[in-house]
Amino acid sequence: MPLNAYLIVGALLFTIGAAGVLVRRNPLVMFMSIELMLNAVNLSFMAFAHFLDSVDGWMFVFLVLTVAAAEVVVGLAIIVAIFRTRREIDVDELNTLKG
Amino acid sequence: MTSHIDGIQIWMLAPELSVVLLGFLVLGLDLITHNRRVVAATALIGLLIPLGFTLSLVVKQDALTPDHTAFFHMLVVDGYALFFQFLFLVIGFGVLLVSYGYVEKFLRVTIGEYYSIILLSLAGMMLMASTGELISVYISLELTSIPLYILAGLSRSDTRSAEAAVKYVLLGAMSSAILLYGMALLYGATGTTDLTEIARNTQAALSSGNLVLLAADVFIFTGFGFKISAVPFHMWAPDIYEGAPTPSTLFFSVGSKAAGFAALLRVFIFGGLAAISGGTYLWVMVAIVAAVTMTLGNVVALLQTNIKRMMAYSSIGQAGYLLVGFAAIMISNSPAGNLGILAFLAVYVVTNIGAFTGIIGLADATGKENIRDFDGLGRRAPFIAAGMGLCLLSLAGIPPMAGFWGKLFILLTAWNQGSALTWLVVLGLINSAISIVYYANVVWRMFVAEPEKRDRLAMSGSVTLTMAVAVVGILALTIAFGFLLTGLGGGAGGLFPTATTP
Repeated sequence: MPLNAYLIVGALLFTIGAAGVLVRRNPLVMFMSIELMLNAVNLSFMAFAHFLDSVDGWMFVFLVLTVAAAEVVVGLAIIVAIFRTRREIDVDELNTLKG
Repeated sequence: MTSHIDGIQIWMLAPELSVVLLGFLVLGLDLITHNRRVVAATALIGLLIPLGFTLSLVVKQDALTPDHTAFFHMLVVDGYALFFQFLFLVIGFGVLLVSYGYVEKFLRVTIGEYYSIILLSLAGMMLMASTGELISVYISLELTSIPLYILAGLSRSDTRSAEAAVKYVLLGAMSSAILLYGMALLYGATGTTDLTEIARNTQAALSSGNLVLLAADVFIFTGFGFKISAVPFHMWAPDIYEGAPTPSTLFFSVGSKAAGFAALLRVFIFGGLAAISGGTYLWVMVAIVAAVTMTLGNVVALLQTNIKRMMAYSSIGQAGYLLVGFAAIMISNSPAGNLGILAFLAVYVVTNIGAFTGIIGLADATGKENIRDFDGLGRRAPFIAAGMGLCLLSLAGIPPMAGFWGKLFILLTAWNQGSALTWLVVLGLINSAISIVYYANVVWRMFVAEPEKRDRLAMSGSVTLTMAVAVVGILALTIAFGFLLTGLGGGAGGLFPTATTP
C-alpha cells in the first residue's frame, strides 16, 4: 500500500478522536478519544518510519506508548478522586468553575 | 561527537539529574523523618547543587563538547538553555519556599510529597529548554505536565480542585496529542527528529512547496498554544488557576508558561521552522493570535472578582505580549528577537512570584481569595501589601519598573520589523493601558479602601522571605535594565544569550 493510504487513515483517526474529545461528555470516553488521537499519531510515525527507512519513528512510537500509559494512570486516579467527592463524573456537571 | 557516553556528557546533564535525585531524596526523607523543617530545608538547600552545576557549565563553556550537545543531540547546553535553567531554579526556589505554610494548612499531603512532585516537574522544565530533538522535547514536556496535573488536584477535599485537575489532564493530554501529530508530520516531511537536521532539511522541503511542513508548523504551534495559554486555547487557564491550590497556581503561571515558551522558541528557531514563515505568511497567524490573546486576557481580567481568576487572565494577557515577540521572530527569522522574550520572561517570573506571594499570604492568614478581601491590606500587613503592590505595578508596566523595560524590549523588537507589525505594537500599548486599570484597582484597595477588620495579619516567615526575595529581584532587574538601556552596562547580548540557528 502507498504511504498516503496510511496517512489518510491516520488523519481520519485523529479527526475522529479530536471530535470525540469535543463532543463526548464522559471523562472516560474523552480519555479513550485522546488515546485514539495518540494512536493516529503512532500510525503516522510508523508509516513514515517504514517508508523513510529510519528508526527514529519507531523509537518515538515506543516512547509515546509508554508516556501515554503514565498519563492515563494519573488521569484515571484524578477521575477516581472526583468520583469520590461527587459521586458522578459527567463533565457537564463539573460546573463549579465557570469557564 | 563521541559515540559513547562519557563524563562530560553526564556533567552536561548534571543540573537536571541532580534536581530529579533531589526530588527522590526529599520523598524518601519524608518517610524517615516526620520533621517538616528538615525536609523543607533539605529541598531548599539541595537546590544549590543544581545551581552549582549550572554555574559550572556557564563558567566552563569551553570544556563542553565542541557543538555543546550531548547524548546524540538529545541535549543542547548553550547559553539559551543555561539561561532557562537558571530561571527555572529561581522559580523552583520561590515556589518551594512560599508553599511551606500553605501545604501544612490546606493540603492533606506531607511536605515531602508536595516538594518532590514540584522538583520532578522542575527537572522536566529545565530539560524543555535544553532539548535538541523532537523525542526529548516530547518526553520533557510530559515530565513537566504529568506532575502538574497532580499538583492541580492535590487539595482532595475541595471539589473545585478535583474539577480543575480533570479539566487540566484532559486538555493537557489532548494538546500533547496535537503537538505529537505536528511532530509526526514534521518527521515525515524532513525524515529526521533531530532539530539541527530538520533545520537543514526544511530549506529543501520548502523549495519544493511542502504543504505538510506548513501543517506541521500549525499543529506544533497549536500544541504549544495550550501550554502557554494563548487564545483560543486558553479556556482551561482560569478554571485551573482558580481551582488548584494557590502555590500550584503560581507554579503553573510561571513555570509552565516559561517552559512552554522555551520549547516553542527552541523548536521554531533551532529547528528552522521560523524560516518557512516568511514566504508563507505563517507569521500572520501568530500575529493575530498574539493580538487576540492580549486583548481578551486584559479585557476579561477587568471583570473578575476572584483574584486568582484575575491573575489567570492577566497571565493570558502577558502571554499575548510574549507572542508579539514571537511574531517578530517569525517575520524576521532572526534569533535576535528572542532577547526581548527572554528579558520579558525573566521579569514576568519574578513579578508573578511576588504577586502570588501576596495572594498566598492572604489565603494563609484568612483563607480568602476575592479581590475585595484585599481592602486595607496595606494596614493589616504593610510589608506584604507593599511588595505585592510593587509587583502588580511592574506587571502593569509602569515606568521605571522592570515590567516596563520588559515590555519595551518586546515592543521594540516588533517595531523594528517595519510596518507589518506596527498595528500589533499599537495594540500592545493600548492593552498595557487597559491592564493598568485592574492592577491598580488591587493596589488602590490595599492602600486606600477601608478594611472590614483592622487587625494585624500574622504572615508566616516563608511568605515574608519569598516576598523579600521577589522585591530584591525586581529592583535588581529594574536597575540592570536601566543600565542596559542607557548603554552603561555593556551590550544586551552578553546578558541574554540567543538560540542560534546552526
